[in-house]
Amino acid sequence: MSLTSLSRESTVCQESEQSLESLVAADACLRCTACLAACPLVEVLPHYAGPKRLGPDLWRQQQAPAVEDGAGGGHGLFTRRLPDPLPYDLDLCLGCRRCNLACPSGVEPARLIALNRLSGRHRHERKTAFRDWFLGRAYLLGKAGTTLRPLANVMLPTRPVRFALHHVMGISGERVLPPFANRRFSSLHQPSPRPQLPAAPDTRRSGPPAAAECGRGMLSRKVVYFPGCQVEYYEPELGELVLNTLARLGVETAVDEVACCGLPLIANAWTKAARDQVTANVERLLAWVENGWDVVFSSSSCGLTVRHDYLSLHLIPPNLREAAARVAEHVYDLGSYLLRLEQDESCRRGKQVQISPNKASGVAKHLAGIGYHTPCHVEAAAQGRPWLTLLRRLPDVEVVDLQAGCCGIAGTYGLKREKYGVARAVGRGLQQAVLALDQPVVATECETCRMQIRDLVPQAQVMHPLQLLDGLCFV
Amino acid sequence: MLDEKAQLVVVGGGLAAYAAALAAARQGIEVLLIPDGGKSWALFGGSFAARVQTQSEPFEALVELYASAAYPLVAAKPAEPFVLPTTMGTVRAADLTPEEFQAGDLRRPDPILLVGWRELPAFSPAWAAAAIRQRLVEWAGRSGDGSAAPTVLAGTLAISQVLPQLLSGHTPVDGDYPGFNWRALAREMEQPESRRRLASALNQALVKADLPRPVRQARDEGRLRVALPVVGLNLSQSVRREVYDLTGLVLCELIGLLPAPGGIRAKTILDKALVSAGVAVRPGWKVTRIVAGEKPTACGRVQGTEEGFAITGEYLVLAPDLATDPLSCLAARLPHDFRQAEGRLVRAGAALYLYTDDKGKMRPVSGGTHAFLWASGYQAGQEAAANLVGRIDTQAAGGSRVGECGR
Repeated sequence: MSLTSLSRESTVCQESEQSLESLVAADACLRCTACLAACPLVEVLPHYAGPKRLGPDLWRQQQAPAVEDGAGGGHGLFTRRLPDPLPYDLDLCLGCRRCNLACPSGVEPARLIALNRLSGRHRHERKTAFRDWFLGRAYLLGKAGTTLRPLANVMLPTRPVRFALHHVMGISGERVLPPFANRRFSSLHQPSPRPQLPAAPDTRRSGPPAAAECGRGMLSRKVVYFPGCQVEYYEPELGELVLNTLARLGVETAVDEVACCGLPLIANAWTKAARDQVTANVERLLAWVENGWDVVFSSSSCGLTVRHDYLSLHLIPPNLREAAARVAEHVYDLGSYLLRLEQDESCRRGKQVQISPNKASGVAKHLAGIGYHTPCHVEAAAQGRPWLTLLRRLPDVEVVDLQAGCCGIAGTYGLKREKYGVARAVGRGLQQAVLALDQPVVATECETCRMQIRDLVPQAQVMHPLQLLDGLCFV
Repeated sequence: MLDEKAQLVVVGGGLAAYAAALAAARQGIEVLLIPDGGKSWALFGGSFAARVQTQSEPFEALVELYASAAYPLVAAKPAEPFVLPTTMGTVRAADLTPEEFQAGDLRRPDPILLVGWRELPAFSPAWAAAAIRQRLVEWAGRSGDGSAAPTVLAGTLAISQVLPQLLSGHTPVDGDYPGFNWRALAREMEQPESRRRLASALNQALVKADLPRPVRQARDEGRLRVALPVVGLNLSQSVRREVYDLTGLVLCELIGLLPAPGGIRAKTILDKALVSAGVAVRPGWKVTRIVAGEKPTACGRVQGTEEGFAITGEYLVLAPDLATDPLSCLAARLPHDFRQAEGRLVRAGAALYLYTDDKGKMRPVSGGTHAFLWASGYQAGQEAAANLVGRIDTQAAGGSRVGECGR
C-alpha cells in the first residue's frame, strides 16, 4: 500500500470516527423541540429551520440512505430528503449555543450544525465568497486598518466607503465599525520568546489544578497572555491593562505571538484554513503549557474556541489531540483566572482574601449603576460569570445583571449585509434592557457584543469589565 | 472557574424550581437558580390541571403572577375541568388555563372551526377535526347527552395570501415551506396590519364557505369560534380582541404545537419575574454531585463537572423535572446523605412524586402524568421556599458572607 493511500485511509478513518461520534450524539435527540424554544433566531426568521433540523436531523438523514441500502428497504422514518434551503440555513445559525444549554439530552445541536457547516457537504454556492473569505481572516482588516490609520479611521465612517463596503464587499454599510488603534499591541509588547518543548512532559501538570482545595493543585502563577485580534488591532490599552493587573497580583506574565484563535474561520466555514490555524495555535501554546504556564484570554469567545471547539469540532489532527486537550486544561478566561487566583492566595495565606478594586475607574467613578451583559459564549462555557462577581465588588456601584439573552451579532455574522437586520432583530431584547438602565453604561467581556451594543444603543458607553475596575489587588 | 455563592441555591428547571426561586427572592433572599434537570417548557402546553391539588386555593399565586404580566388565567369550576382541543385531534382537561385556550372549551355548545395554515404542515385541521368529532361522539355516548356537543369544522388559510411578507424571498420546495416555523408567524400576527389582514381573510373565507345553518347563525350572533394553532406570542390577547372587534369571531388557540406556545409564554412570564426579583439564573450548569450536611456547620454545596467548580449556598431546594429526563434526572442521582441536611435541603415539584425503593434508590412513581407534574409544580415550589424562608437571615445577604460557606 502506498503512502498516499495510507494517508487517505487514515483520513477516512478519522472522518468515519467523527461521523459515528456525531451520529451517536444526534441519536440522543428526542425531538422534544426544547432547542427550538431556546433559539433566538427562530423567533425572528420565519423560514429558519432551527437547531433540531439543522443539527441532529441532518446527521440522521446523512446516514439514513446507507442504512436503507444495507438493509434492503428500511423504515423510511428519517429518510425524507431535507430540502435545498437547508444549506443556507446552516449559514444562518448564530452559533450562540443556547440550544446546547436547552437540550435535555445533551445533544449539543450547535456543535452538530457547526460540523455540518464545516463538512462542506451542504455548502450552497457562495455568492459572497470573497467577503466570507475576508471575514474569516478578520485580522487582515485589522492589519490593513492599523497600517493605514489615521486615514482608515477618517475614511471608514464616510458614506462612499460605507457604500462600497455594502455594495461591493457585502459588509453592512449601517454597521458601526470600531476605530483602529493608533499602535498595535505587538508594537507595545514584543511577543515573549517561546520556550522549548521539554523532552519529557511535566507530569506534575497532568490536569488542571483542582479548585477550592488548599495545599495541592495551585496555579503556577506564570501566565502567557493571548491577546487576539481585538487587542492587537483595536484595543491595545485593554491588553496593557490585563498585563498590569496580573503583574500587580504577583503573576509572572508573557505575551504570546499575536494570532487569530480561528473562530472567524470556523464560523465562515473555511475548514482547511481553520485546521491549519488551529494546529499552529496548539503547537505554539503547547510549548508554554508544558513549561508550566497557564494561558489567559481577555476575549471570552477566543478562550472558548481554544478550550472547547478545537477538539469538539474535530479540527485537530489525531496526533495533536492529546496536546490540544492538554492545552485546553490550562486555558482560562481572565475573570476565571482572577477568581481562581483569589482562592489560591487564600489557601497560601491561610485566611480569606479577595481580589477587589480599590476604587472605580473611568466612567464608573461617576455612576451609581452599570449593566452587565453575559455573552452567549460565557453562558455556553457554564463556568459562571466571573466578571459579574468582580464587578459587584465595586464600591458604591450597583451592577445590574441584564439577563437579556443573545445580542445577535455572533462575531462576523452581524457584519454581513444580509444578516445585519437579523442581528439587530435578535438583539432587540438586549437593546430594551440597556435602554431601561438609568444611565446606559454596559460592561461585557466579548468584543463583538460590545460592538453590537454600541450599534443597538449608540448613546451607550460600553467597555470590558476590567476597564471599570481600577487597581485590582488582594484585600 | 466557577465559584458563586448565594443564600439559597435552587436546582431545577421546571415550574417548581422557578416558583421556589421567585418566592424566596421576593422575601429578600439571595437566590441562585440552576435550571438543570428540566427543560420541558417546550412541551408544556400552558394549562394546569388540579387533580392532585390538596389545598383549597391552589392556583391563587399562579393567577396573580400571570395577571401581573397582563396575561390572565381562567379557572374552571371545581371538578368541572375545561375540555380543550389539541392540534393532534385529542382533548385535554384543564382546571386553569389562559383565555385563548379556554375559548376553545369543547363543553361549550358554540361551533368551532379549526383553521390551519397551508405552509405550516405541523397541523392538519381536517384530520384533527375528524378525530375530535369522533371523541365528542364517544363522549356523548358515555354521558348520554349529545345535545351540547359543538359542531367542529375545518378550514385552511394560506400564509402566502394572508401574510405574504412572511414568505418573501423564500422559494418553496415541492410546494412546501419546510423551514417555516410558527414563532415567526406568531410574531407577525401581532403586528397591527397583520391582525387586520387576518381578520379580513377569515371574513372572506367565511362568506365564501357553505356553512351549515346553525353555524351561520352562530357566526351572525358572534358565537362562532375559530381555533388556530397559534394566536400571537406575547400579545395573543390583543390579537384576539382586535379580530373579534373586526369580525365578531372568537379566536382561540389549540394546544399541541411544538415547541409549545403556552410553555414559551409561561417561561417568558417567569423569566421576567425572576429578573425583576433579582434571581441569578445560571443555565448550562450540570449538577453531578450534591453533598449536603457534611458537618453541622457546613453549607450546602453543589459540585459541577468542569474544573471542579463549586456552588455554595446555605440552603438548597431541589426541584428536578421528570417530564423530559426521567431516567437520569437529578432526583434519581441524589445520595442518601441529603437527608442529613438538617432542614437545609428541601425537595419540590416532580420530586414529590418519587419514592425510595428497597435498595434505597429514588424512583418515579408510576402513573404520574405530565399534567400532574405541571399542576403541582408551582405550589410545591412555593411551599419549599416557605419552608426555608423563616430560617434564612435576609439581613446577611449581599456579599458579606464570602468565606463563610464551606471552603
